[in-house]
Amino acid sequence: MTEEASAVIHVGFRSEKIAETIQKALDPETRSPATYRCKVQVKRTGRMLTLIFDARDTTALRASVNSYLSWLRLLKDVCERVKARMP
Amino acid sequence: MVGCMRKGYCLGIESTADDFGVGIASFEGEILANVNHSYTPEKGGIHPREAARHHAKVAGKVIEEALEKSGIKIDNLSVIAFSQGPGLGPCLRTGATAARALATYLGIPLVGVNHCLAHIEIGKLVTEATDPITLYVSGGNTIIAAFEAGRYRVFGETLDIAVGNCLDVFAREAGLKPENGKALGRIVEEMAIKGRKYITLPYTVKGMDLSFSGLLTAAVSLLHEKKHRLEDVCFSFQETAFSMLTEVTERALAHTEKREVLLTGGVAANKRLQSMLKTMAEEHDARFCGVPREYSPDNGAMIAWTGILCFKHNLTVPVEKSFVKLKWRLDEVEVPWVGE
Amino acid sequence: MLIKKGAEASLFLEEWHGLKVILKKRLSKKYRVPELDRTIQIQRTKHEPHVIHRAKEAGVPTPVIYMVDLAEATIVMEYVEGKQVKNVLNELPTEKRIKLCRYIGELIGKLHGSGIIHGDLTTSNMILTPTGKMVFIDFGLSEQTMEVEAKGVDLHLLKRALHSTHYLYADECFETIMEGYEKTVGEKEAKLVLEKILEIEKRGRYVSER
Repeated sequence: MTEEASAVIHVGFRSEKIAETIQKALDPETRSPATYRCKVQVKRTGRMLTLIFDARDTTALRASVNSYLSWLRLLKDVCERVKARMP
Repeated sequence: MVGCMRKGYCLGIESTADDFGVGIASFEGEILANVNHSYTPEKGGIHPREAARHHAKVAGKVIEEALEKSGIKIDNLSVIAFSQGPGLGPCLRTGATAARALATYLGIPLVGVNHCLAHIEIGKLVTEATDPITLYVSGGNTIIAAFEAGRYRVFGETLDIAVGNCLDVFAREAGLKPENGKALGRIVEEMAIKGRKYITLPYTVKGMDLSFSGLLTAAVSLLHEKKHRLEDVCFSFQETAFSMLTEVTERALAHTEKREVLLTGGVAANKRLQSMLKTMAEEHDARFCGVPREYSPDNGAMIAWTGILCFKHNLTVPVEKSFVKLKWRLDEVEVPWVGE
Repeated sequence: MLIKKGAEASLFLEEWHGLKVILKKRLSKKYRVPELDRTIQIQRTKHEPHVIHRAKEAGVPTPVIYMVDLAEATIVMEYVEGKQVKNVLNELPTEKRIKLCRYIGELIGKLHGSGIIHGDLTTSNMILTPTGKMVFIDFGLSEQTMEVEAKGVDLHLLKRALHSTHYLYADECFETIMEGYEKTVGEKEAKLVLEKILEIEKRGRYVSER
């Protein structure tokens, strides 16, 4: 298959600390992916994260984007709950 | 040893298969919270991605609930632990990302815990066993292990499918469905109690290892023949599978000359299996240590407690190196706290 | 006199018509239902002497069988004087250990070459006699098949047993055993079996695709 598919996603968070935490939490996953059919990079500028997906094909792209979107939601949720509990 | 003098708490995340769990334990071994949320597929077996999606959805809520139950303040946590393997990739990754975020945000150390090890350690904690032979039986694992020279050595295991998986597939083939929150294994167990006639099925023990695929195939064709009462097939299936498990555990017990038999894992809830192992243990003057239902299936508390044991021996992992290990074997893990 | 209470059978050292014998009695297990218990006892009592005999034909020393009593689930056999390899192996100097392991490998090769799968290859089930003969005992879990899978499992069990009992030399011992094995079964067959062992190990007991 010679097809290529890529996507770039920008997400903003409430604080720089949250964005940085999420970046760090995702980092090992980008470096030991479940499949080499999609390469993912996570970059940060302030409280913005940019996720760059480079996939072999659209199926691989969709699977990877779905995983990361679900993790983003999870991580944002966890961070905000922790923040609310901090003294 | 570091940190053992100080009062501390560990939050542990379990996420290897269909359960997402969060436990909180104190350094002294008190379990302050153990909140678990199960993913139950509408039909068929676990789909790793769907289970992972479930875990991602409930994670925040479960963490919050555990903190609430424990009564401790979030800034009292001194370490975060997570199940690093073995398990299903998507599930492990989801639990791992949540744990990394907590450790990073709170600026505290992270510990990657071996899931099988955690089952043994929580079992020892709650049953006060000191040096048992362990039979760990679940949907993904069937392991007979005991401590020997620095590690838990695997004396026996399944050569093909796990006994819990075998039970689930059998139950689904029999048309049984999970109802009122009862797991499939429980429904087979209830059916088996009403069984009267034993039908011979393949009994496959090789040394201390087992094989369940032949039993499963034969039991499924018995179902399809429709010549026997379902209760009798369930009974025969259970008797055969559990006799095999008990026999290999007995062999390992005789071989290692341990004095305790610890039963844990999701299948440990089965009363018939418990009674078989208890009978066997008594014949060898060994103490039977059945792990109570709260701590025998996959749970967060076991990760929290094992996380503490690891943390006290500086077995932490930097966030950037905390990759999940899908096939992490129990006998690869050093356990410096045993035998102290 | 009871000399060993094993998991599955009790061994008694007795005098039997002037001979020093081992009486192996398969135990009834309270934990199993009687039908299953009886089936297992009879099957194993019948099966073991048969395979022990076949091993001799293959050139592997095994105890002499004097009597089989199905009703009592009992076998009377020769008492083999000697030491369990389990107790010898860790004491031996490297060179002797290697020699012994190679010999064990050759004998296992003979068993497998004749389609005999021991089923419980551990160093407790090999007796080294004072004359240097190696006698294989306890064929209670043996099978008869030429399948590579079964041979692989048999040796995989041995490898695991070595790792749990002789962890210091486990890898060295296993490698030398496989050398001896190759000597008997040939390079081609040994390679097939070795690949099978690796496959069994890799198969990963954690079932990820469910």
